[in-house]
Amino acid sequence: MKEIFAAAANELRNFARERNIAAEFTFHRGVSKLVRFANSGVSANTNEDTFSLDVDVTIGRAKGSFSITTSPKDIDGMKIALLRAAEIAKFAVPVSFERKIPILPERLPDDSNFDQRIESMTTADALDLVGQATDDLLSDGLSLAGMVSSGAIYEARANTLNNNLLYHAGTDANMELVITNDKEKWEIQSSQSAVRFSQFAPEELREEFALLLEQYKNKERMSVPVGEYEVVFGRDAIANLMNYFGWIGFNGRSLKHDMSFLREDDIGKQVFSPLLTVVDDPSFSDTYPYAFDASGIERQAFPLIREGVFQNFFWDKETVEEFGGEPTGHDVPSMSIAIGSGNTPVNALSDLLAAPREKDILYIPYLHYMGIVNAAKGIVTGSTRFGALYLKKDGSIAVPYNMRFTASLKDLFSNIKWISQRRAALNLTNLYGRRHPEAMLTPRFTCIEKVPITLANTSF
Amino acid sequence: MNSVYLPLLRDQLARLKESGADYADVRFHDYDESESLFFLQGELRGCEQNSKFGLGVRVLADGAWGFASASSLGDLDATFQRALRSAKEAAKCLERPISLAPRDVLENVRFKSPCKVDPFDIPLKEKIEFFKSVDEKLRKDFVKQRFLSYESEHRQIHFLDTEGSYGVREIVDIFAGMRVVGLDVDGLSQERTYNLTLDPRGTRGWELLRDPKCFLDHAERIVNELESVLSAPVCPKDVRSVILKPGIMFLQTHEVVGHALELDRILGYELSFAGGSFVRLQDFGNLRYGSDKMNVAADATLPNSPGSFGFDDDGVPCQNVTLIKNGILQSALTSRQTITEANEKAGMIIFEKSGASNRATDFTRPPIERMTNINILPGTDGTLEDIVKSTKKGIIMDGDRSWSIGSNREQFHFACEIGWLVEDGAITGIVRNPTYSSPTLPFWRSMSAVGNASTCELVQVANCGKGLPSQVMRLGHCVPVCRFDNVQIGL
Ligand SMILES: [Zn+2]
Repeated sequence: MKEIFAAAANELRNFARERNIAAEFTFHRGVSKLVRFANSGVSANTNEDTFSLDVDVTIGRAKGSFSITTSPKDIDGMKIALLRAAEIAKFAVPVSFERKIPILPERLPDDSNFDQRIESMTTADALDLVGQATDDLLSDGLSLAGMVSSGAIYEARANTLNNNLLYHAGTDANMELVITNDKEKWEIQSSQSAVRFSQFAPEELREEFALLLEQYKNKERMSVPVGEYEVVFGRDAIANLMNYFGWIGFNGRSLKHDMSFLREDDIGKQVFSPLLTVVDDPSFSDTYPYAFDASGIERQAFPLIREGVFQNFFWDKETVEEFGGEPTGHDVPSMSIAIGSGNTPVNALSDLLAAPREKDILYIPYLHYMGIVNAAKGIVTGSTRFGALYLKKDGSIAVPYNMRFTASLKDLFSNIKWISQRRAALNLTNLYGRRHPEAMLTPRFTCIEKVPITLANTSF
Repeated sequence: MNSVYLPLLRDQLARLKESGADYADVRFHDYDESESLFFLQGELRGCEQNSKFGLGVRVLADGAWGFASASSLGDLDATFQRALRSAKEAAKCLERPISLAPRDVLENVRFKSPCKVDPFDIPLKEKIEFFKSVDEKLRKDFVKQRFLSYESEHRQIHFLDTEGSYGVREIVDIFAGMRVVGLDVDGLSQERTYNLTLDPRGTRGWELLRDPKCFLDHAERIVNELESVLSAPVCPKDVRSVILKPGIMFLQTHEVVGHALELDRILGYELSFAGGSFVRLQDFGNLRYGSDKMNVAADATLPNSPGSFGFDDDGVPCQNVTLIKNGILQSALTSRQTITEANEKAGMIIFEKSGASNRATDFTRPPIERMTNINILPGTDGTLEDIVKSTKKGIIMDGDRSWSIGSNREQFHFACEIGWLVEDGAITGIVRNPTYSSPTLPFWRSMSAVGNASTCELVQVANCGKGLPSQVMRLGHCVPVCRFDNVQIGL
């Protein structure tokens, strides 16, 4: 694909230069396959191959953008896109700050996380993985739902300032399965993210499902009394919570727009539990990292929270152009967030169930449909879903109906009691629009005290 | 029929039939343009146009679906055959073969959104000047951030299937919004928003923005309301009557009526992502969803709304379906596939025919059940003033700030932008950070007042998300002011 992008970039650059147009080009091709399961069958088996080109034309401080979704061979269409972006830029009103097209450095192709085996995954591969992950488990009114999603992206950036081309390609895959009991209306879930096909270990999913099913089939169901609880969050739940930091916490743009619960004077302060360390680190290959950002800035480990002390906001190019400062290499479709591991040897669900407990605790593996109640205070709300457990002090286990919690992120991450030793990547790729894989490295379990449960359902 | 590609597509469909497809359809976007503008502090920050071209092919073979899409028509064979192959491979893992309910063939049907002035015919300069004039109205010392957004689409979609259908839809949509943000007495941000609403009997071109009543005049109102919120006390923690204006009533309807009544959710097709529904097949015709005052329709025959589109992606003409009558559940949002399965599972005919709710966001996705216009029918309880007068202890709320809903839509939590406390039939003051939450059925059963038609607004939704691979959808909600009793607020 690199050669096709390079040839198109050459032609477009020349076409632009002949007309004195200062332009930036972003090429994207996404090849996607998704096998979806519902009611124990394949409910959708989809394939997508979409190519698009974004053109940004800058005239002084004014910018015009045009995107075209077409065939990668449609050079004429791309030239029209360039002319239309130039036309828009002519009429666009200049902004109050300096806008600069970046001088793209020479960089080696960033395609080391590309696995041919994932790129060519078939329906049969998906059926095989799912078969192994649920082998012998789907009886007694249980059904299978979920998906196996796989694909590849090919991206390139170029502009009229020089002849360099930044190229990025990668593959990604995610198996996210749900076992449902249609009669009782409960569901349990487990997932696995992969950069390489060989990373899939369906037997691990099976083991977790088997253990959860034992609880869900046999244990007492209950509505948990509303109040404060010690909660052990699973990796999906903790990733979901940490994801809000990228939006209303660490993000310099949100800070400047009064939409961040972290402030400039929080830098260097002990804002969170000393057990919490968070870094954006592209050296973790499981996070679908970018080696450089859209301006060609080399991405390096970027500390966000160190032992509870807030370290840094990250800054994108446009925010820096407007408010000053230095860009931090964060003009990327996805970051490589990693939450530091702890030293508690609770690394599998079986460990958690077997661990002695001083009080009643909740296990919440997954949060559904979170909402920001108040961005400036970092207050979020969400409901539990998929496999929560009520682990009682006396050693017994019950299955709680879904609950809602409403809490501030600052409070939650200040009250960490312990973190597992083991971490794994959790796939966060959203499957709307253009393919852009994303994953976060999260501890297996994170125990947080004083979590306010504000509503508890009285049935499934 | 002006596309040179149509004979090629017909040819491919015929070949699919020969190769063992039971049914196939293709959606071909030969013209698909969109434009978006974004202003921050009166500055044009984003100015983008987009042009798309491509097709999506859906094949039913051996009882299973396969789907393939491409942004290139260079290798039609490959795309059509990939869809067929995917169906056959999917059929190897199937509990119940899919079959489609019968419907009449679409014979050369043409649908066009009502639009007087195509937004794409308006010069960019005029658009920018218009939004700058709106921004002027938002400029006040206490307004820290001013946001304006605009998005329009104009697309032509050809639909062909192996049953001989052909139809083409020319769809124009226009969305515009304004938002002001200020810091309250505690230094925390508060916001007030207005999004362009439609006249369900009118048109939806640039003419809407030229009419000050539709957009510009709301600028002053939201700025004044923001100013009041900034110094207002915090919403109390209490249980009282909640009076919802259309700016939040639409979302209340969307989240726990619309989504809960999508038949694919009820049948378990979204359990691994968007979620299920507390509604069961045996509930149709029986379940008391709300009080006697609750009447809900899925009306895709409204002349002017993104939830009206001529025919759905099953090729079934749009309809007006009664979902809830006098509080009792009647029907759902349905498609050719799901009604067959639901009737079979229930062992009786619940759904006579498809309600034409099967839609895809664009050619890259297969269709799934989506809302059309999910409307609360107006009631007999007068105007907002009348409803306030008859309220002992309540709170009026407006503006959707956050929403979070249980996975089976059985409970919810909403945060709004502004609240007005009501005591003994009169408004006594404004509060900030108003929130309310409740289990779903007790909430609708406590519906104690429904405003008349003069209180109704048609609110557009541009970003309803669902499905894997995921898709956003555009739709509408025509809703009046409504009151609900004994609701938890301030959590
Ligand atoms: Zn929605």
